[in-house]
Amino acid sequence: MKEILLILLGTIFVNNFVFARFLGTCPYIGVSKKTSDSLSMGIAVLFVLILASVTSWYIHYFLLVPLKIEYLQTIVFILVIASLVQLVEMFLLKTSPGLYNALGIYLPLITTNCIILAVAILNIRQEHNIIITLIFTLGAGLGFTLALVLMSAIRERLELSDIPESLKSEPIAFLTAGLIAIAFLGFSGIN
Amino acid sequence: MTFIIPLGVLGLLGLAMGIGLGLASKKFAVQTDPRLAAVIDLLPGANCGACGFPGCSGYARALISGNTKSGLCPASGEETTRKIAEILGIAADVSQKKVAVIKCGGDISSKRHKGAYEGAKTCLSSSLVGGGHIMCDYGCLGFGDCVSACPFGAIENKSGKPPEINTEKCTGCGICVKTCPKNLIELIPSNKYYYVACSSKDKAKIVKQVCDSGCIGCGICARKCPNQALSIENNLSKMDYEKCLNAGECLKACPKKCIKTRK
Repeated sequence: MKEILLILLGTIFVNNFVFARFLGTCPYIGVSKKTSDSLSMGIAVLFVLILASVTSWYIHYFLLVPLKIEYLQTIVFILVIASLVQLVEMFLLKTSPGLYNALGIYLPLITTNCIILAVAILNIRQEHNIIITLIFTLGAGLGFTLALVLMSAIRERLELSDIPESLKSEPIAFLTAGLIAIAFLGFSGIN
Repeated sequence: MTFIIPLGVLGLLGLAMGIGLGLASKKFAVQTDPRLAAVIDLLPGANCGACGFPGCSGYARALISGNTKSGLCPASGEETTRKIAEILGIAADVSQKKVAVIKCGGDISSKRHKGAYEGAKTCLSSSLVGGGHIMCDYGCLGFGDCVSACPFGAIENKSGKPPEINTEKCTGCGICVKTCPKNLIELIPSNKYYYVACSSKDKAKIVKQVCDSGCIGCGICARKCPNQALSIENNLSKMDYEKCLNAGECLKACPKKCIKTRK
């Protein structure tokens, strides 16, 4: 139980995928303008993450390993991720057109969100069992959502504040991202 | 034979995913308005944006939601507008189709250049350097920004002359009008044939120095026109298309041959 908690907190704070590993920075800047949108993006990524990493874990251990074709890992995982994103896209269009429109282009871009592939591959490389895989993935998704929500909350306030003309919108967002990453450095080294 | 296993695994996985997605797309199929597809089919599909909406499908969606009026698409003809209005059950707003003309007909080959221009080969860049590399301050720069801007391929580059607009292909979307840094392109009604192929507001003496076929503002065309469609403003002949009767007297009368008929 203690181990599970450690992995969860570790992936959320210490090895946060955005701030410590610098993965998934495209939606981090792209969808962090409104808190509500960034929260739904985070949840969509979390959903795809869990589906993708569990599926790819099973495919790896029950298909690739017995057939000794582990070198196909990357391409097979990408195939799985792409199909799952397609599925989520259809599902959202049917059940929640509002969310579908709010996510816009970033929904298909989840396919190319490197966090998804990174988590799937890290699970294999760090030899997690299926329970740890689930926890690790959950932590990764929550960490990403946390990063997005933090950023968007700051950016919503930045919209209203008086900042120099040349720093408006993206430039100030990059500066903010750097400062948050430095703040998260404070967690590093904690195990 | 080691390649068979990976090939088979990838192939089967792909097949399984494909079938899965196919089934899912049936299950999660969303009912769309059948009128939407019909309207999108009727629109030209060039996504030029002249209607003010993001692409043809954007305009079709706005039409269906009733937030806009028909006939905003300059690229589709009268018949298409009527058909769309019929599908939607609204009144057709049919306006006269327009075509673009370039209001410069001068020689812009190297002997009419101010000096050697070596910058980026676009009209916009050249126009930023002292108003362009052509001696005439109002003339076409000839790099063909309009040619590359036209979504219908209706404008063709000519060396030493302004580009030529193919009236058959021109839909009157007006993108070239906005593109030309010299504001030389005008949309004229497609049932009128004559236009003043010069935009120079310079006095006759200067015009003669920089161009062989520039308008000198002599006013002969204005006097010969049977319906007073032409007038001289700022040393330049101006055509009023409300009055033009396609008589062609101006074309015959112009001593500088700067009134042209479109092809």
